[in-house]
Amino acid sequence: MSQQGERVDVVVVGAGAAGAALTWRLANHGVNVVCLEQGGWVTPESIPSLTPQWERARARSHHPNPNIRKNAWDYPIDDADSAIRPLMYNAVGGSTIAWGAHFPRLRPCDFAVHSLDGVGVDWPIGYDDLAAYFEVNDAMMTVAGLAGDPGNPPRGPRPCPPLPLGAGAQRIAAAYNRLGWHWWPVDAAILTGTDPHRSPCNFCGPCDLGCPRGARSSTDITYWHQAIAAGAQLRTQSRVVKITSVPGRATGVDYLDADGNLCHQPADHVVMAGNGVGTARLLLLSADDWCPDGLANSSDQVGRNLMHHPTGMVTGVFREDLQGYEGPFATSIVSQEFYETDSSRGFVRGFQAQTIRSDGPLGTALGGYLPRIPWGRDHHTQFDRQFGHTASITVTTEDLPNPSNRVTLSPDITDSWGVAAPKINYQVEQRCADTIAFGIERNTEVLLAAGAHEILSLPLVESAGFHLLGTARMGEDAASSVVDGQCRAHDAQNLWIVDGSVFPTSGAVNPTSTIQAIALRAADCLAEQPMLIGVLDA
Amino acid sequence: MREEHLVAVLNAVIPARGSLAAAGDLGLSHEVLQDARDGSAIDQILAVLHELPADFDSLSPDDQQPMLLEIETRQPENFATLVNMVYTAYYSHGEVLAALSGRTGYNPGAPQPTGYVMEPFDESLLASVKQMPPLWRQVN
Repeated sequence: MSQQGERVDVVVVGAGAAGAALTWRLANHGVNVVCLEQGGWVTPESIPSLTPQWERARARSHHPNPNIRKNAWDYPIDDADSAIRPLMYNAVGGSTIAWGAHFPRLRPCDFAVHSLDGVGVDWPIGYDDLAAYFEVNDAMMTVAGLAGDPGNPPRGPRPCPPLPLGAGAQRIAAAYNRLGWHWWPVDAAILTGTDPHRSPCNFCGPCDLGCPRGARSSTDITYWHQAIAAGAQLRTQSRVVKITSVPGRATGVDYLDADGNLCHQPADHVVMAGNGVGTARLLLLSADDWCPDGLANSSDQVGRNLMHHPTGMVTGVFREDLQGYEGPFATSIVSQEFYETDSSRGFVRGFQAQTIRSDGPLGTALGGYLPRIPWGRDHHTQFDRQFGHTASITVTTEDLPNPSNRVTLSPDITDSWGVAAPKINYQVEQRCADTIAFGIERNTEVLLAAGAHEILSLPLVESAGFHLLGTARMGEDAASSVVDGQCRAHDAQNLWIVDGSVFPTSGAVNPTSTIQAIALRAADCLAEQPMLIGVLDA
Repeated sequence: MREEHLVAVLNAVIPARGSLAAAGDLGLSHEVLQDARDGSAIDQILAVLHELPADFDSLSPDDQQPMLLEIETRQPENFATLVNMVYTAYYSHGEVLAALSGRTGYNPGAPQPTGYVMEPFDESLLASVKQMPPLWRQVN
């Protein structure tokens, strides 16, 4: 027997980057909105960077891979047939709880790759449609950076000053200058200025574990307090198991509360914000008589076109002690010298080169972003050469839609409530491999120019499945896409999808800034829709 | 499984050097086994140990290492799991972190609340980049 909640204007599924931004915006429009989140709040006291065992926590209890972490709030992912391991975090704040906070925007060209370069598909919206929302979001996420980057369209003054470079990034920046190549300090969602409720960054390093100072932004500390103050409801430990529907319309959601009770939340609009794996899983789980292949799936595109950002990594080993473990791990400088298409390279599209600092002792030994330190008699010698002496540069490539790369429901694996887990089938396309090979050569040039005496490289970082995109893509054509340019499902006009699953293509940059801008824009579109309280009941 | 075998394997994976003890001599075998049980990897560890000869712990390091390399070739995933667990236990151990601190100046404690002091960004480094024309394509 399910427990029936009181009808609301909007129910949002997922309290991460997109769900938080959208809920905040809706609440400020006066919309009666409730958000259901399968996880709970992460308290500052529980963050592992307060303990000497922080690296062990990163390798186990706070690993970004839910299959390793196995929190009670997580669901397993069947990734045996995936070349890249999907990562996510389930809690208030979603994967912004366990991220590096690098905060670039997609470029204008990223929205029109088919028109410009003859690959992928065009988006039904462009950069200009999101420009104002980028600025709102940057203020909410307290972005540190510097305006004036010639690599990107003009943007407003950054809310906070840029992060320090550290010795490694300084050498790399100087090398870029000698080569005459582009670089710029990153936009990072990290507080480097002042805030009455948060302490500024003190450069401790492991942003991905969370930030007990509240300096590294996550939506639990940026958006959620303000959303709740504006009237939004947030129900934690509420795992949505089905979007209920009648032909052409969503009617609400069924969810399990913390005690396993099946509850129903009726709503005039349902918004999915569960990331590119979770949202596709739930749409497929929501099959019904009128939609036997899954909700909003008449196009057969739900779950298809899964995109990551296949990433290679080049590491320079320096004789000098760079103390590379100091400073936010993923955020210092970025180069977009090779971002745009140059047909002379033999492939279209390009890559982002993001400088990465080095790791603590355990991270250095285990590798992952660089090769593992060998075991055996040479172990200590190799460890000493690398620990604190490295700086790395990513080759972050643009993934393009491939219908065979997809999320389905696992026939074998279920979550703790017996609900089918998502299964991932994913392969890296040759164009990405070619881009990575080219990028490794260019990054090697940079690191040698920076003074590195040894170069290590990985052609694919298997554990870099941070970005889950494309599985419910937007488009004008209902036969080949799941939502329209406003993020409204073609098959159910009161069902909205606002997370990374709506990306038709991926760009070659971290997507969170763009995801949140899309969510804010969708909130404004949704707020203009007539609320239907009582209509369906009548 | 003989515990002496596991200790010997750990010592071969991370031998002693200077002030740094070998992984087995540091008493990490129980921790590795517990970690394996918690992570449902105990069968992988036992599969590696099962291939060792009965006198493995009495062999010299020069004889042990090639044997382990052969097992790594035959069981790459199982051996990688073992190495992951040995590294995790070793580089989380207070004595190891203290020794590293003594050699490198690395702070072996918690990253917070101390953090690090870093020089602020020097915008003059961007002088030449600021002279570049726009590098992004206009799209209509």
